[in-house]
Amino acid sequence: MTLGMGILIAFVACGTALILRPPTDSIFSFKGVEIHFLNQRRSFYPSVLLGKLFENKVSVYYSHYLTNISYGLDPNFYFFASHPRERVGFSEYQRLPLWLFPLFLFGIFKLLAKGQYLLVVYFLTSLAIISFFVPFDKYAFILYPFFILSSFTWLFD
Amino acid sequence: MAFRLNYRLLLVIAVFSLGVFLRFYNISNNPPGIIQDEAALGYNAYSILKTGKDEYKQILPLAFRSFADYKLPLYVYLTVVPVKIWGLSVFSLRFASAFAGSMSTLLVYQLSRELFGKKRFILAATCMALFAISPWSIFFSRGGHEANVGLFLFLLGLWSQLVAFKKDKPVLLFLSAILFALTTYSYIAFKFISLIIFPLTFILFRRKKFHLFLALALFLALSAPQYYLMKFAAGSNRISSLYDSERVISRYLSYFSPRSLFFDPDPDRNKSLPNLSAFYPWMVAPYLIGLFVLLKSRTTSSKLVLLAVLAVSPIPAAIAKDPFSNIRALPLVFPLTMVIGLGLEGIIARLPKKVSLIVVTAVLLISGMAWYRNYFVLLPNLRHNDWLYGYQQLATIIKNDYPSSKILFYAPRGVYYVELLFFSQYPPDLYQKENIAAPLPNYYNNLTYDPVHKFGNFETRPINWGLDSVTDQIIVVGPVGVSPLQAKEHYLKVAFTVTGPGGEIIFTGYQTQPEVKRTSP
Repeated sequence: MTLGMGILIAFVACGTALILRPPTDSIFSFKGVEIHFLNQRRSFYPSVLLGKLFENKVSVYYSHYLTNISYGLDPNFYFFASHPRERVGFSEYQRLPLWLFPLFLFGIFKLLAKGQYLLVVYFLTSLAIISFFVPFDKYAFILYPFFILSSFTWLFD
Repeated sequence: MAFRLNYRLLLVIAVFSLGVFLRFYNISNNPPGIIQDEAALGYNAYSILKTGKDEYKQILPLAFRSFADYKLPLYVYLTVVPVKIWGLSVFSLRFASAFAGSMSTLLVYQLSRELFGKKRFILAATCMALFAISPWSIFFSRGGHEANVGLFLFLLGLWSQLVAFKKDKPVLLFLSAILFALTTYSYIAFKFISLIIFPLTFILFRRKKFHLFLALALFLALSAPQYYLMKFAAGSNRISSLYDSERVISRYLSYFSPRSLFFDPDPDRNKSLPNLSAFYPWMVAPYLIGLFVLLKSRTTSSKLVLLAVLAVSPIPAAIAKDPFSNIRALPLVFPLTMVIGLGLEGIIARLPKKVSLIVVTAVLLISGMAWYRNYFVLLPNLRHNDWLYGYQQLATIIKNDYPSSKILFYAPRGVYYVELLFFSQYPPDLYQKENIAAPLPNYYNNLTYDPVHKFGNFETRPINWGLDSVTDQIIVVGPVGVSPLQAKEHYLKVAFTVTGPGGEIIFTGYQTQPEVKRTSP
């Protein structure tokens, strides 16, 4: 029930966001320099087959996707403007106030300890969906409710 | 019962063998080349072996001055043994670290049993396997890194301490004091971590104060020289040059961030793999679950010890100004492995046996493929410059083809001379005589560093074109050391080149033509 509800809310939220703010790009787009790196890396392998197995379009898509996932799972992205690992070409800013961080840690622990997984399911599903789109930052706001609600839900118990 | 025991033992042996294989396989050639710090450790070990003194003629120093960065001494002294057995080579230089990393896999197994109980075999074996295949541990085991030896001693010390408490064996307690003290001679981070964790474990286990006093006294007495050195540049220079008090919290937190641990590699190119972080990306799920399981579990002394190691380990790295440093935070690999192990155990326990077998096989296969791709294909081809590939070939060419020619090596930073000393196996007694900085006055407090080095037919320094182009010699430069225009202007003739794995030029040796240059318009 929780799983279904979480996924449904996430799909609705992400769908609405994608309609209102249509994506400019996705993880499936290739930059010219990436094609160059792909070909260069293929030449490092002892055989053409191995080169194609390890360095191909899917591995590039996968790498793009993981990069977005990593931003979404990074607490520094939300609370410290990505410090100390600021990203090249991004304008970094603090997305959530720092004082919320200890409340969030406490709150999420309390929620999980009580077996309430709705917010976690929402967060993971939303993250899995928005990580397909580039730039990730454009849709990161979808994830803020997870942090804010987790921080305060325990107050109402 | 006998079959069960054998099966478990076989599994432990198999995982240990895998750990040893991953740490020792082809370490002489991969990483490709040795960085200057490794070369300095190896050459000083050779110097100690042959003369009992370091490159500055200092007898058995407590910190090796090297490039005025004062390296802690344990790795050098440990490397004397393999250098004695196998001679000065890349293998003997890296042996201590690879050995320490291999033995640490066994210690992770034993520590898991001590911390979580001997009945949880699956957990202990999982933690051991995770450590055995962890990119973080393997990477630093395959290079001459002091921190890896420090980690091994730290784990051995912690294990001795826990066993001593549980079995009431004061001898092991004193052994742990010795081991913790030795860590302070191995890597700078342990000067802080061991000082906190060693007494804290006593407090958490609420042991007799008498034992605490004696063991602590032994630890402090043995490590006192290292703490005393902090009065001088030898002990304080590294700390003061790296310390940055601003935004410590965000840096500290980044050592627990999934992005830093599972996705992004360390930005320092010779401390990381091109596309692999400290752990494999798939480990992020067990990590998050493991953190929750650990925090939720019943509070015991063992749990508090693990939490203390987890909390204290990244502090030395977090107070340094670099964004994220794998090597400074290396002690963190142990508690994080335990956390991931707890998470993985939780996942496996909830899956049917057949499914869990498929999951384990799949993650092992994925990890193996990621390791092969990053370590054996991308690292040698994309990072060979960062690992200073080419010095071995350069030293061989000069030794065989130009034994009596004057060689000027263009090295503005003044630290690469040690690569040539290492690979040419230059006699340390001779170098000590020729080293203009030896003997060094005020050894432990001397930060002056001259980038000019002269030994045998080598000289390493910046080029003085007015003088050097009219001297009969070979000028060796990197790919951008001399432009084609400069070569033409000074009538330099290419004598030899050293190429990288992809055929690109790494070094060029130019023969000067003094007569032509002098008579040129």
